[in-house]
Amino acid sequence: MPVYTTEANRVAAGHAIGILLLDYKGPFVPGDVGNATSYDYPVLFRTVPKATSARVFAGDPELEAAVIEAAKALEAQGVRGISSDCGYFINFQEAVAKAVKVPVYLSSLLQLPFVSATIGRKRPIGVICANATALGNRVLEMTGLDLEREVFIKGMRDEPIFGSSVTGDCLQLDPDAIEAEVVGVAKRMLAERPALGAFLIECSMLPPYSKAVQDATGLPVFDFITMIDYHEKAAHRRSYDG
Amino acid sequence: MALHRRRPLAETYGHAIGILVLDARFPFIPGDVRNARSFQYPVLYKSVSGLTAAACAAGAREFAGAVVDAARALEAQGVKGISSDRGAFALFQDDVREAVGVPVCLSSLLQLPMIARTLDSARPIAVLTDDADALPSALLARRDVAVANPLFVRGMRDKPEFRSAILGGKGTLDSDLITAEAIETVRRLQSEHPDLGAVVLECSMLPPYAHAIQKAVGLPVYDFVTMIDYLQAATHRERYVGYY
Repeated sequence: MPVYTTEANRVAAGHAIGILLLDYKGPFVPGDVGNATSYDYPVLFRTVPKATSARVFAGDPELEAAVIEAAKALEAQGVRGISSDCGYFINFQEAVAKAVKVPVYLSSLLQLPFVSATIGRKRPIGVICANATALGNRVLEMTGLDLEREVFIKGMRDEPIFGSSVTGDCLQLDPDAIEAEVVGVAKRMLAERPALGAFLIECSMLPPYSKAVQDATGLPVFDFITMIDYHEKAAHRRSYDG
Repeated sequence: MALHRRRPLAETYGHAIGILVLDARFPFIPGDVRNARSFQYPVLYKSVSGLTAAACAAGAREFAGAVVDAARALEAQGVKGISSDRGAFALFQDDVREAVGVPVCLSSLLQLPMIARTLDSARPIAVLTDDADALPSALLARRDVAVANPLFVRGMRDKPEFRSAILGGKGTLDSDLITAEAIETVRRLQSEHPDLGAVVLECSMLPPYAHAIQKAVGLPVYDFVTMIDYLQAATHRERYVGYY
């Protein structure tokens, strides 16, 4: 083994990925970005103080310093990449990428250009998010997506159980009931756009249901977890022994 | 188990990813895209007769039909995604993605836009390829490949073991020597550009050295294998069984 040096500000070592969190308390079930058992490697969470979803949706410039500070604190703990638990943290993507040395991927939507490259030109990408009204062209443009690609967006906020579970601080959540709602939304989207080529699940509370969406539609399903796993693998290459 | 239906053309079942390969024979060592052990799931290979590296470098449009047929044959076997063993297969990316129903990523370079967004746009990205002159310049200008970050493409042609084993095809390959050659190439680039942000291995014979390169330069290393693993993960979602 090589010789290691003490890092002055490091509480513990070996955390693969740092994850910025909204200032929000919810029941983060397995598969949720905010549940540590969703990953096969250790992650380190850090809440951004006063980062309400409304401020992150709007990209409030007064929040930028706090987001950067939290990202730098994660970097100081040795993480090899930084993500988040809300797709609209994309508003701070550039600022954070400039402030730290490790790769930064704050939004699941950053996968859109790759997803778009892999499917036929005329096939829409289905995006399932929490609040569809917040997801406009301005956000899509920030991902680098070619805007000729049709993106078919549906929000979960109008679904009774999901809607009531995430309004305000959520106290309890029934994953089976929400799964039925997400699958219902995905099936209706496919019925409306039979040429759909892939799903991208934007919201960090929805990856627990990605498998159910895939089973119901037969399509590739990308979400926060596929993105974080992908970049984690690139940051921790293993040697092969086939 | 639920009811399962026979696929008319399938000989066997359960292959996750189909991989189109050039008409070429080399020692495909563990980590190489053409070594089945490089993946933690079954892959199915299909070679395109007559399609060589030289033909790709020359544009190879006359092979578009054969490449599409090979991709369709893989899809008929039930694969959930299709990739390839050469970055220059991007020449056929549009033909194939329009012809099949599953997602297609024929070139490791298709990861570039996604990688570039994770870094400040001023930070350079290294592209390590077998022969920098053989990489069609039109490839890097494609809408699904081009990035704002500075790209530094480096080939391995001036490295004796890589040149004789891979470009020359002498029939043997010393992976220790190539490890040293690859590290030297990327280290030199990093010393010229200390703010280098990521390394992309374009060539499908370079992933065996990704681990050693990462150890030497401390940067994220992306290649065909990271891309194929990503494609596999998105097409085979699993249930989460953690705790709360």
